[in-house]
Amino acid sequence: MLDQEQKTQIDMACRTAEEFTKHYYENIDKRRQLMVKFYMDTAVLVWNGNGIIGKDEISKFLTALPLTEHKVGALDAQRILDTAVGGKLAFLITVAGTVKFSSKNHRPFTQNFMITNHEDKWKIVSDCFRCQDPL
Amino acid sequence: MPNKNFKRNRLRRPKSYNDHDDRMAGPHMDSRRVSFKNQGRDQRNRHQGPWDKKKLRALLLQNDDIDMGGSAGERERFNRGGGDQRHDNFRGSREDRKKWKKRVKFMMGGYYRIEVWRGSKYGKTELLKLLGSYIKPTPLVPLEVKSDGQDFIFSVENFEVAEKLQSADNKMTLSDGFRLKLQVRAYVPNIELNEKLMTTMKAALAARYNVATKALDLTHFQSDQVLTSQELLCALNRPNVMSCIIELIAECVPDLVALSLNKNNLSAVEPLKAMIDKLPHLKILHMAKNNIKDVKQLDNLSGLKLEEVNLDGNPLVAKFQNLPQEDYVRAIRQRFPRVIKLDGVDLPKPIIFDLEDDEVLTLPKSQFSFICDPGQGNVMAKTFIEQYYQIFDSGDRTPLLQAYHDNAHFSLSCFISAQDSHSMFTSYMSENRNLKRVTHEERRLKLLKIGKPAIVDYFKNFPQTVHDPATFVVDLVFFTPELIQLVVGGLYREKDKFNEGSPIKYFNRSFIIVPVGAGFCIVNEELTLLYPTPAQIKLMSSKLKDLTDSGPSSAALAGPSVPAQAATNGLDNDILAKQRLVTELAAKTQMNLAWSEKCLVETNWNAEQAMFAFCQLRDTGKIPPEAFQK
Repeated sequence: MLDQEQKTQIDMACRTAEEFTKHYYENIDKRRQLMVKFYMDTAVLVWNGNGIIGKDEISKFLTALPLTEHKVGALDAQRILDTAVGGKLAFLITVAGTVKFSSKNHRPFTQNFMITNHEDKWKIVSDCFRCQDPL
Repeated sequence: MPNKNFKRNRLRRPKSYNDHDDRMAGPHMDSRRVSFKNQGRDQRNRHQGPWDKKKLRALLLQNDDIDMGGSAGERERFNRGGGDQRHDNFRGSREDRKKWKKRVKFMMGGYYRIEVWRGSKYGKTELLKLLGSYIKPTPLVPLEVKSDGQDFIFSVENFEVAEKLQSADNKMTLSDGFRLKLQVRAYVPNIELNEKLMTTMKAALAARYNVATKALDLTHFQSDQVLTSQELLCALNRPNVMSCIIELIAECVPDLVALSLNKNNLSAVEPLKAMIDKLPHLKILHMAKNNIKDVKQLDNLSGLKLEEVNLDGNPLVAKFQNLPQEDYVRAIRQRFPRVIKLDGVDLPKPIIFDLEDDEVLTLPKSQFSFICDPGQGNVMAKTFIEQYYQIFDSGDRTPLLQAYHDNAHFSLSCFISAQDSHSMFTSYMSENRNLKRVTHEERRLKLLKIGKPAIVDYFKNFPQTVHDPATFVVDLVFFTPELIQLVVGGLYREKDKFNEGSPIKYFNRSFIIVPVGAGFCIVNEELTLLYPTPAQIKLMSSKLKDLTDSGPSSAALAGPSVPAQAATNGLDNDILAKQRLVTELAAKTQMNLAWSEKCLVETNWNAEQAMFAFCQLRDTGKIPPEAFQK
């Protein structure tokens, strides 16, 4: 059975995921220069199979992308088990929705995040983005 | 020149929208412009009354056939009582209603179905000849001619024809002395895109395409003889037909420059949206004499880089009648800033901002796979996915028990966009934990599967599946001694309906895995299900066709031959390319990955030679059974 603390953490994972995705997509669509603040120094971004490591490189990569407009349609979140993260608080988040690049049409995408509490701030450890159709 | 038309139809407008500016169209512009030939088709304006909300509401209240639009004459009749008494007319005596019901109503964008009572026994030729002679000299163009039980049924596109046919009711005597009785109703056709229609559509498109100017003229497409000679109904204002047409165009002439959709009764613009991605070179779009009501509808198309637009004869243009001309031009240029010719009139060259050009903005190229650790990590990911989906698709998922941590977490979410129906995911909806929809804390907790028995129990109730590894995209995000993050995406279909071509689905699965001893153990897993995209449906149906063509002996999971896209440059890509060759060979031969790799190594990674070698060795019985053990 789950104890109260576990229940609280599960609820926290969901609420944090809601907050996180709200900020993440708002910033990536409108204030991309601030995206660097979302990532850990050593974070990994996998963008349609292209790997980018380190927050500065990630920021550079994201800035170079055409303008985007994301719409989140589905969201899921879990607390990652202690076994995997050594007692640190970390969440696994999955997003599905549609994204529009520049003047192109909306196309479906999925995005998987791992975020953790780093110095009392939520930071992205990994960010794995995929358009459903190969580009 | 198209200007001629323009003058006739819109006398109110001056020649140019901006008379004091004479920078308009020099000869160089004309030379690169593409024009449509005037087809000289029927120019008469049919009943195009404006959308009358009150009337529509009244009709809805009446709860009878919905009449959209209506001729001026008709409206007068409806309005006899004046203003607010309209409803009373509809709720009049039974006699009145009967009378109205009998009369065919004009339906904007609709077709008319004629049902000849007990007409089946007379034969098509006799009936059509009789009716044709009755409405002479108006030509009768029957569509979708068929028998429905005792009745003989066909459709016509033209309202006048429908009206005339209705007046034929009870007026003529058939060969056996009975009176010909018929009923005419307006309806919205439901068009099935079967093989016959598709083939005919292609032929009609080909005949209307101008290779020299890269222009396609689909003016009043329904009247095309290629279609009508086969009695085919092909309304471009049906979204499925328009989507299909755009697909066909994109397939055959992706560099189309000019498209005319004049006179096709289009009222919705949304189905044309696909052109933004599919026809990037489209510069000229004619949609004159349609039924587009509001300029805002064109927002849907604002990604098109149009230089010439023709919307003449649409209700949206009439809305600008009492406004300064510049307003209309501005409204159009807001959507299409590069327009230099509008409704046949040249406009002064626009002054645009020097912003980055969308056309040069390219997205980084997608890779099939990102593997953070090309050595061990690669092997692990490959083995893990192979084993996991083999068990998952095997019919008995109990062995997956071993793959999960005692306290593992699993949850499922479905992404269903507003325009999709839930039906495709019915069997999953009860467990859908999409946090966008499930907002209750208790419910969220309940939908999270905790502990391996709970997870495997759920998998037992999960529909039987067939995943297609050839469509998989795999990202190994982390591979450390403490934690592995693996994300897999791809297509699957449900097994029991496999032969009926059950709809395919796209999945995204995010795993957190920890190494345990020599093996691995899943601690967190999130599964998301999505609708397939049109491109994915196409890919799978072509594969399914290959499958049935080559007989059941070929592997059900064999993928299409993938061009060596991954083998561009760099070591990583090389590994990915090889990995792909291995999975492909494994899928084709049913050998396991280790032996498939061995085979490829020995043939110097030449997929054809490897397949050849495999066939030779198999035929001579030289492949040991362990090569097929998985």
